[in-house]
Amino acid sequence: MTGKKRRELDPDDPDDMEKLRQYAKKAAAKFNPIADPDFEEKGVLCGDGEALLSETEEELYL
Amino acid sequence: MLTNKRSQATLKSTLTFSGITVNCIKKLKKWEMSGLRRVAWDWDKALKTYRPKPKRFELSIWHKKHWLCSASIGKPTVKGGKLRLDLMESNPNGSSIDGLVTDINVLCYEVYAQAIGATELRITNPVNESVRDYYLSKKGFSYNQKKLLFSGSLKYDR
Repeated sequence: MTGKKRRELDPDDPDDMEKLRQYAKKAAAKFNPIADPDFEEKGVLCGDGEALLSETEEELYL
Repeated sequence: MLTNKRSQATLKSTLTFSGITVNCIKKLKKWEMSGLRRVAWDWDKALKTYRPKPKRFELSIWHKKHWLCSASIGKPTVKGGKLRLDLMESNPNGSSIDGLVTDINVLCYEVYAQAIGATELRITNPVNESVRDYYLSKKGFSYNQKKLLFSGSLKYDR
């Protein structure tokens, strides 16, 4: 299920940190190290800083 | 080894990762003055709105410790079930990892989401159709037109 919080890992717990390392390894393994030559990736990629600055506290947490 | 969109190779070991430091803010100011950005908002002001959020995630990616490749910032939602990637910018002058910046950032956010227990990653306000289409090509991401964001569920059993 998405959007439902799981248990937060404890940075002081060696078991939790090992779990995180294993997760990072798995995530990195699916990373494609070769860029798509047609993907225009320059400057701002996501985000609207001006809108963000005018967001209310409630909107910030949508 | 990484290969950027110009087919140039870069050693992974030449990349370093950090938060948004004083040095990073200086470089971001230079980006703002370059006239090459797609938009004109102020990183410094945006950062000030995040500084009070203890669980914010800020990331700068450097090549050979001196060339800032990208900067991004995000934070979890109130209940912590989702992690938002709110602002992401790659060096408007280009960098050795052009074409890979988005994927590297998303990878780092995924790992942070795992650490804080979030099960969904949200990428807000993709800057144009090219960027939007790029995410749509990614497995697991869908686009919410109303909220102008991408949602991707994070599967932890991979």
